[in-house]
Amino acid sequence: MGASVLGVGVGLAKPADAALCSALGAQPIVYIENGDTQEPLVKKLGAQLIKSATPIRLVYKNKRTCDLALDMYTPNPLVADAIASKYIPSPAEDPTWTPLSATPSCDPDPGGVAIGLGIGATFLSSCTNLPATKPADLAIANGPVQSYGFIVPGASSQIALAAQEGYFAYGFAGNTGMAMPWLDQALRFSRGPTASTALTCAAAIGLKGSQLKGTVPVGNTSTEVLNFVATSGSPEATIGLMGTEVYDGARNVVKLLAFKGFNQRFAYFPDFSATSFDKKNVRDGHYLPWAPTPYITRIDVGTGKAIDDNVQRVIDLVFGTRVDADVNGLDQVIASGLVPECAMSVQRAFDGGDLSLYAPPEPCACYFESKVPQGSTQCTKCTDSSTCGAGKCRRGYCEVR
Amino acid sequence: MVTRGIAVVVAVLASMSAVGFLACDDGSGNAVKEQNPVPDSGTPQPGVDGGPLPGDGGGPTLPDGAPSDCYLDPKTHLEIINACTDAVRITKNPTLPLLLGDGGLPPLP
Repeated sequence: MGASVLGVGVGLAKPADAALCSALGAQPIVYIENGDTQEPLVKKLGAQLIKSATPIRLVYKNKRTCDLALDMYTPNPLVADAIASKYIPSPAEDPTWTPLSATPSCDPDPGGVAIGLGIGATFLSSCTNLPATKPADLAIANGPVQSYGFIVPGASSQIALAAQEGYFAYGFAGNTGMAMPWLDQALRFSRGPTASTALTCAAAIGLKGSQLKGTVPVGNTSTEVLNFVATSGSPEATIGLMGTEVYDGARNVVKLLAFKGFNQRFAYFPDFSATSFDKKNVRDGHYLPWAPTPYITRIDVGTGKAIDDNVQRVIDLVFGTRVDADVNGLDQVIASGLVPECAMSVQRAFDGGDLSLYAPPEPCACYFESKVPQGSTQCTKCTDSSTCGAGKCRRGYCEVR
Repeated sequence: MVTRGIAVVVAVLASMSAVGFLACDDGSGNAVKEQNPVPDSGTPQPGVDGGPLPGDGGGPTLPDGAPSDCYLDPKTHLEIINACTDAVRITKNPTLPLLLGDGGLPPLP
């Protein structure tokens, strides 16, 4: 189980011979700090952007959500440190590179470079390290939805977790929570309290990220949690926290538990079943551990747009408000295991908050269902709205409006 | 050849096992009952959203008035998370010794 399989890198050591990012080529660079759950999207989108007729190179660093948010608030530059800065290579630099490949590293300019875009993976209201007042020139927009869950080794017999079980397993030290079979704190893997995975999972079981009594791997990464859970010698007692898009790439080695929230009668997987990829239960509110991914950037307060046009292009592509002839951001969002806002029918205002019904202004549920792995949709195909009754033809399917 | 035959048998048995798993219904729609060594506690669920759980007294009903275990036209949080669905659902009511008598959660130590 390596980073190349998961598309998620650890990046603990700074390479000794990395070139300066700014010297790689003539393409304009967008410097990004992102949660490691968002790395698959950054790689997929970056692969299209570097090959675009108007190319952009993405240089990114995996960082915990609350830490990257603080960098954007302060603002702090992206600097050379223990966490590698990675870049999407052009076809000329590496013709064999794909988003499933390991990503090469480069060094930011001495003194650091301005971070153009921060991509978090949960509500920033869960972060306790941010100033009370957001800078006026900092914009935060909720992007695609990221779901999370509790994973166990493939050999575990467990298939579901009730929120109360999670509370006792992760909220109490050692075996004092008496939540069978997760009694060994050394085998309850977690993330640090500034990581979105910890914050959102904790909220789903009635805890704060700082209250999790688990084992945080030394690098505090999704990859490490996955590896520890997958290779545990005591599968029944082992459990961990994970972004579901990371899990989707590792279903052969771990299982994601169905989740039953407080006041919920049954437990549900994020998808229709344990073997599908449609995020049906995230989209309709049956699966509860999820949060939107905040896109954080500096804006021109007059126009409301990012001060860097290339950053605005990336945001527009991801949000689906722009489609280039050679870059489809919405498709990359879906392929990365995220749920675009236009495919959601519920919403919430903060981590663990109650759900309410949501009607996206330009729905894409049918398109989403058609694009996920093993995807299919019962929606009617269309070329215009004349065949859609009261609905509207969007992206080739009759959506509800 | 023998190895291949064994592999085929194993694959068929695994498929039958999976089908049996998915078909294991507790009488409430397409619910899957987890193979759990501990008995269902039947403990009321604590949480932030009050109101009757579907399937309990005072919960949703079918058009003919019979009690239902899900909501057909969800509006509130409680109804949304317990809305009727054709998705796989799993019964999970673990025994948790530290739950309070009223089913609530004790404060953290």
